Amino acid sequence: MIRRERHIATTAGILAVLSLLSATSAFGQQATTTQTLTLQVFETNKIDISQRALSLVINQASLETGAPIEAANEDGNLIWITNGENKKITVASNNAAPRFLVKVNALDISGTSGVAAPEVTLNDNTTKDFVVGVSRSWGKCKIRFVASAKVADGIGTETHLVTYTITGG
Amino acid sequence: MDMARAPIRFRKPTDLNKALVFPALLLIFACVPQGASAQVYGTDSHNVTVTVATVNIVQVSAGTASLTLSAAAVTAGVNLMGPVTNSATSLLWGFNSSLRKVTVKTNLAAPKFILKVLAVAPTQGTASPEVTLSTTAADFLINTGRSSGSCTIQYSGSALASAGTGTDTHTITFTVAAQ
Repeated sequence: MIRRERHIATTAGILAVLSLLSATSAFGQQATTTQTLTLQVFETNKIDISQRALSLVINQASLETGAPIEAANEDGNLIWITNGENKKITVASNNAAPRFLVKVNALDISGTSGVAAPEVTLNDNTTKDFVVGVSRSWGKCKIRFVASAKVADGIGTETHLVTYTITGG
Repeated sequence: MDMARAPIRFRKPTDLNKALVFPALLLIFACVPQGASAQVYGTDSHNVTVTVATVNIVQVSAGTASLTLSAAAVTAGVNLMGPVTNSATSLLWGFNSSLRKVTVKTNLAAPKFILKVLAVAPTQGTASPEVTLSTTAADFLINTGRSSGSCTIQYSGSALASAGTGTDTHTITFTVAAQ
């Protein structure tokens, strides 16, 4: 009789522990879990051109004046993107003293911001504004070159390495 | 008479003792096995109830993850910057009931940038299509059934140029739900 009571007591104790463990386990189950994710975006400015080489050929002259007729080229496109504020795009030639006259301007700007600067003459190697008012936007435009020469300039070939830069406005 | 009775008086206990020892021992040995037999063949019983409750466990392999969107992931002329991805963490789960799924949501009500998530290579179940995270729970993993398994969590971050720069911090919650 004593043995049986002791056995019952032991069994009851085990069941109580199992119940406690079961309850603890149930409370410990996770129906949800969380994770912290950080997405950081740095200022990025990118610019690209569609044509690596362009050429302008002056091979006609005015019948009235005899002066060479200017040549134009709109084959190139400029594309850009920036998530920064108050940017502009500048243009510069590496030719410090060109013999022939080369002018450039931005044409048909599309995108969410940016205004074409007035036509600039690449008569030195200084930096000049090409597109202004660019903020948090992407866009593109045609690059229009116009080359002209005077009779006195003679003939020849000039090469310009033209650099476009997106920079603080 | 006394002489006749006296030997009997003096011998009787001795004989009796001798006569009784053996039967007594037999009786003792006979009783002991009977007691032992009663314990061996006795029976008793009780009920043991085992209850397995619904178990839903879901856990991420790391508490944090990060994405950095910089120039390397940007193309000029394309309005959307990125995406950049992070597949460094995993989701682990264990369900013992059928028709379960895992949903995902963020606590960030108005993020500046676009964050998407996709379950990659789940060992059980089916990955839902990539979802753009919002405060509304969206399916992440479906048809898991009774299973334990894992999948890679692939985050994908991108940004419009118009969103500018900055940092979004999301608390991403994965939840086990009935499907």
